[in-house]
Amino acid sequence: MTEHVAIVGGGTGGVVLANDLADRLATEIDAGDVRVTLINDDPDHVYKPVWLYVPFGQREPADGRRPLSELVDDRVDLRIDRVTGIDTDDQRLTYRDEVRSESYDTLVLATGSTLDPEGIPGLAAGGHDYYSESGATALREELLSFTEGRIVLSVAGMPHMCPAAPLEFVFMVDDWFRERGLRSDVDIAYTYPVPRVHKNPHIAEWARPRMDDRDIEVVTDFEVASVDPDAQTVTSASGDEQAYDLLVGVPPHSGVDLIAEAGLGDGWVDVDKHTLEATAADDVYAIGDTAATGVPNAGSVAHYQAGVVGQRIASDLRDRPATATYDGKTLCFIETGMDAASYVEFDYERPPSPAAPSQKLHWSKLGYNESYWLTARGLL
Amino acid sequence: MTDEMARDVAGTTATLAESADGLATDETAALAETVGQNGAELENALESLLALQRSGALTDLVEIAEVVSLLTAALDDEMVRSLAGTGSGLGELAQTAADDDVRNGLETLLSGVGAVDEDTGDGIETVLAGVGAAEGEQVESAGLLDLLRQSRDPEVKRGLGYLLAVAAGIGQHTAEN
Repeated sequence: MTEHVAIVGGGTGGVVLANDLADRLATEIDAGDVRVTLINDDPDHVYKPVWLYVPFGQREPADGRRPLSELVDDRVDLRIDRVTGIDTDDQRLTYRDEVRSESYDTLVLATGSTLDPEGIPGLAAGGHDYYSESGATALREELLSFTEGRIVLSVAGMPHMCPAAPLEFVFMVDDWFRERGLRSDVDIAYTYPVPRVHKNPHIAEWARPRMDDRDIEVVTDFEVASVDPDAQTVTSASGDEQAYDLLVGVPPHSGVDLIAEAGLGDGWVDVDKHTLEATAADDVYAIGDTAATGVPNAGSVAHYQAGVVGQRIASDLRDRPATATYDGKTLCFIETGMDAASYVEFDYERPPSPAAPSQKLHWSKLGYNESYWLTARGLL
Repeated sequence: MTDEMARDVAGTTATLAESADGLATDETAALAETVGQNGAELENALESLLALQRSGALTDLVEIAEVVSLLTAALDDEMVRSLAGTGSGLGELAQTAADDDVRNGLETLLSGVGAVDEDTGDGIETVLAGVGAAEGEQVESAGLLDLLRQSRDPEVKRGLGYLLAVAAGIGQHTAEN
């Protein structure tokens, strides 16, 4: 009997895992004992960190897109379709474009985050973002012609993808206007929903004095409630109001409905944070943003978790005890301007300690962004 | 000397004595001994360090050390295994390709592929993926009838078209040389 491993979602976690299994289980796949399917509703794989550079005219959205068929090992069955239902009791998936359901023996959910700007009244109409291709492109048009006024970056929901990105954006936009001699005509404000500038207190403690030094106005405890596109104001739940000429919002994120409908969690899959196995069903794993582990929604997390789940699935298929576990390892770059960056590396036990910013770390980030495709292929 | 001056001097002397007592640990004694034994070397090392500091190279070195630290932090066992495996495979490939005849043949083949694909990288990938797929199949000897039968397969048709274009490129290259 052929064991079927189904991976839902072709983002970083899904693609890295598919290629990991293709390599790890090559013998079993070639012998017909194992089948690995990667299911995604878009034929392309998208590398989202590119979007941070689009508003500054440094990258194009196309730089972050490649066909999945080019990235995924031939041993993996690639299915371009949308999973519309998961039955964890009968271990079956239903599809949008296929009448018949399909069984699985092991299911990995890597469906990621979706944006929910409609969750904040007025945000979609009044705000821009760099968390989508269309958002980053529209923001570029606004930013390139912006020469004076007040830019407000508001984090309108947590958790969100790449927790350092709001800090990166204000550091970059500050530097970008300084380099062009326009900073004195541009005010930059940053609002954040908790009483510090980042969810992680260690990163917040590191970032705050740098923001003060660079005249980036900080408004904490600002839980965005609504945006008035006509009056150009953003209002918090407690009634505080911030006027803007250009609003850059980090929209609220949500998981896919599929997960809640399958009883696996509230949009995010409830998992054992070490084994990444779903707590509400057997033979189901979740990785990346989809897994409610408490670690940041970052590509590096999905990457490291994919390696762990790959080992666990291979052990299980070979009737050996699965011993690989995820220790919370996370690595994030933090751009601190247009020519400098820092990074943090931490896990469940060790807190982050940002490195001293330098141009070489900035080059490392740019270099990694270029070589990301090696990660997707399972090499790096 | 006034009473106040005497108090000041006494206070300063007491502070110095306390400091000296604090400094007089086994560790500081060992440090002093090490410095004494290696004074000339330490002086040279310090001068080198100061020269690096003055030229700005020390800052570069510290920043490069952070990059090395980043690389170390980013790796995990799986990545090391994967990178080492790829490096090893590339080494074996390089050894085979380093043979003079193989190298000349590859150059001719690649020039043919490059003539078909403007982006040679894609062309090489196409050929390599085809070779990889063939290695994964049970390859049997084929006769004329097999050739005719398989030539009706759309994938074989596309592949033959590509190979004919490569053949034209190789022909052009060999004629030029």
